[in-house]
Amino acid sequence: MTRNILHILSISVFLAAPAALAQTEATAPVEAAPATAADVAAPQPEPAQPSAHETAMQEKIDSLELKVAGLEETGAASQAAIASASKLKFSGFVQGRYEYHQDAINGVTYSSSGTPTVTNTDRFMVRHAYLTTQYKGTNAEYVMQLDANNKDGIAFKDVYAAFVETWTPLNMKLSVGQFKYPFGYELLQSDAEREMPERATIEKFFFDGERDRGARLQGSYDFFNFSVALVNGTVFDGSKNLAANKDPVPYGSADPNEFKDWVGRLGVDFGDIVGGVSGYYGKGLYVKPPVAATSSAPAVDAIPDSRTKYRVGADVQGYVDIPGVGGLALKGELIYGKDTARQFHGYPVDPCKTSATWGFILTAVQNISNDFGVVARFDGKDTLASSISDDQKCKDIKTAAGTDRVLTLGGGFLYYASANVKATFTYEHPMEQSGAKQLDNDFAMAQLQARF
Amino acid sequence: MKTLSGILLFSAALAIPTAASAGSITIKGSDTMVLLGQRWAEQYMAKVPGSALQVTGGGSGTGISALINGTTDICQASRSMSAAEKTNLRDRYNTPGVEIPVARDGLSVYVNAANSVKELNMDQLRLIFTGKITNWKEVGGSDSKIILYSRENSSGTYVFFKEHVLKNADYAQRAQSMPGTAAVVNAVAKEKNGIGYGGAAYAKGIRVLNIKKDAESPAVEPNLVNVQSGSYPLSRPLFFYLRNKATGDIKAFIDWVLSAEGQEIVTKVGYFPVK
Repeated sequence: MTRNILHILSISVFLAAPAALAQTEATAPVEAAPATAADVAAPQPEPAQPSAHETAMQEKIDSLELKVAGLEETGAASQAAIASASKLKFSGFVQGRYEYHQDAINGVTYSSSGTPTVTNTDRFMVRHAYLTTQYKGTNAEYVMQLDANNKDGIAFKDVYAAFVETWTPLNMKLSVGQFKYPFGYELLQSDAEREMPERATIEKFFFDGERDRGARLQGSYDFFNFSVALVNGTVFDGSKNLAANKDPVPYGSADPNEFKDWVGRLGVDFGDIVGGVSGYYGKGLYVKPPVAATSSAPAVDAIPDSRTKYRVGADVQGYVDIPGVGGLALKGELIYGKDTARQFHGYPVDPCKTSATWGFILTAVQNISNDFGVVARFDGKDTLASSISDDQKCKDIKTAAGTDRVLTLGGGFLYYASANVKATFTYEHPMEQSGAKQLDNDFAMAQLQARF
Repeated sequence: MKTLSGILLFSAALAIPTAASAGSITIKGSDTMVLLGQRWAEQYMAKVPGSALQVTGGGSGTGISALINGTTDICQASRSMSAAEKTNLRDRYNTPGVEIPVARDGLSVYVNAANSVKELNMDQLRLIFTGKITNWKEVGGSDSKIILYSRENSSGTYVFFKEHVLKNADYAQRAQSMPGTAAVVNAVAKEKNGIGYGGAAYAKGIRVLNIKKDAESPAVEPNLVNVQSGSYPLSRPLFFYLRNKATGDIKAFIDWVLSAEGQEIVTKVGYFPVK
């Protein structure tokens, strides 16, 4: 707008000047009539005084010039402010949803101590409420993503400072802070973009919490890309993981483990074929909570336990345009991981802490025109009983591992009402869960997402 | 079961199809290409009665966003889509998109006609536009401060120049961003110490510099032969981007754009044909 005003004023001045000159020229012959001999002999006359019209015109031009200069200054300041502001971006999304659970029981149950447990899980809920602030400056990037709907209140998601180099063809970026594990495909897919409402079982098993704190280096060259990170290796979410033989999180942002873990992905992107291999290597450590003394047993101090853990994965996605219908995406991912218990600071190895688990995710998404889509996903996770010690004290764990396979088939419809609104309707049926094949715990969901 | 029925009803209520588009083809994006797009549209609508094309600018970045958001049928871009943009398109439509080169451009560097500098190499250009060289005498000109004119960051020309000349470094803070290539040309024409860049189609009334790949290379003029052969260091393709393979009216229009008749318009506007 300012620039337009400047142009208008410039044009006004430009147009006004010749007009003034033309008028001056038109009146000049009258004032400067041809000289006579007497005139030549006479003293030279004083320079002609500008007419009132010329004076007024000059004042107008001077005034306009001042205004233009002022606007130029204002414009320059505004331009700097706009340039700076354009580097700051806000984005976010909210997902409101209704969930139906086949195994929901109307009502509340109470434990012997009187603690209530709501058994009805059919409900309206807010699943995600994200706000992301991003600033890209000179060789720098700032990201802060807040989730206003975390179970513990407002929580940080992606939060990091990044240094972006511009002098190599790799366009590398070094980020330090909190970010998603650079592993696989579905884990890195945004909650706003993922077609199914929740991540697959194997992702939740190995990467519950999805994020960690550390330093990450990313880069790409032609069709290659890479991302490698050194992280604390202690996930943030769920003391429940104690039972699942995983890192517990009663520690907040602290890391009880002095070892740091490596995680990374090496990928290729050919446009219609995308894929990668991922790896994770680290050492886990947690402290078993102390046990208070009872009448029959003495108190047990907190016991540190340690293990080596690794995960490897491969993912591939293929995209093909079906003429007259829309894009079809076929995605597959395979993950295998093993935890090996080991001695720590003189404490003996707990053989029951060694186990291997694998899982897979197969997803197909078909766009129907630009507004609709259908999705189907089949995923599974299985802890291998053969990987657990035959030691008698591990018998229960080994038995449980033999029946812990989970296979889930799901699918649904997607509707893009506009660039900002997406509706998702999905149904998931666990085909097999903890050894049972006829569980009545299907899950259906209708979700409306708005993003900006 | 009642609640499941509720979900299905809720689903049906939301799944109301949007109104089908009115049948006109929308083209949005590069300001460098907007004149070319308008000429194509005018000629095509005159040739094919009943066809309707709407062409708007805004910059390549704006056009690509519109393509991803579904608010344009064809995106005109004076640069390739970035990896992030390709990912966004793929995430939304499950297709890698379609890239069609429709013309070539010799991105020109302009100076005022009174400037004694006739040529620059790529390194000098980088140093000038990143603010490391600030006086014309450092590149063989008069002892005058260099006045920089650039484009807005939504411009594909801005991004192309940044990637290929500045090697992804930031522009000097004092570079003035102009709303279009014509504005850059006008500014340089008025400012005797100015320098700017833009498409060849707008390079009238000011001097276009010959560009050297490096200090040892010969200076190359942005003409048809040099641009098409790629020997001009700042030659670049101009693209149409689509979400899906073209069908129907869109395919007919693109086929015509790539025909001898469509490519003749490319030359008339001042760019270079792809064939």
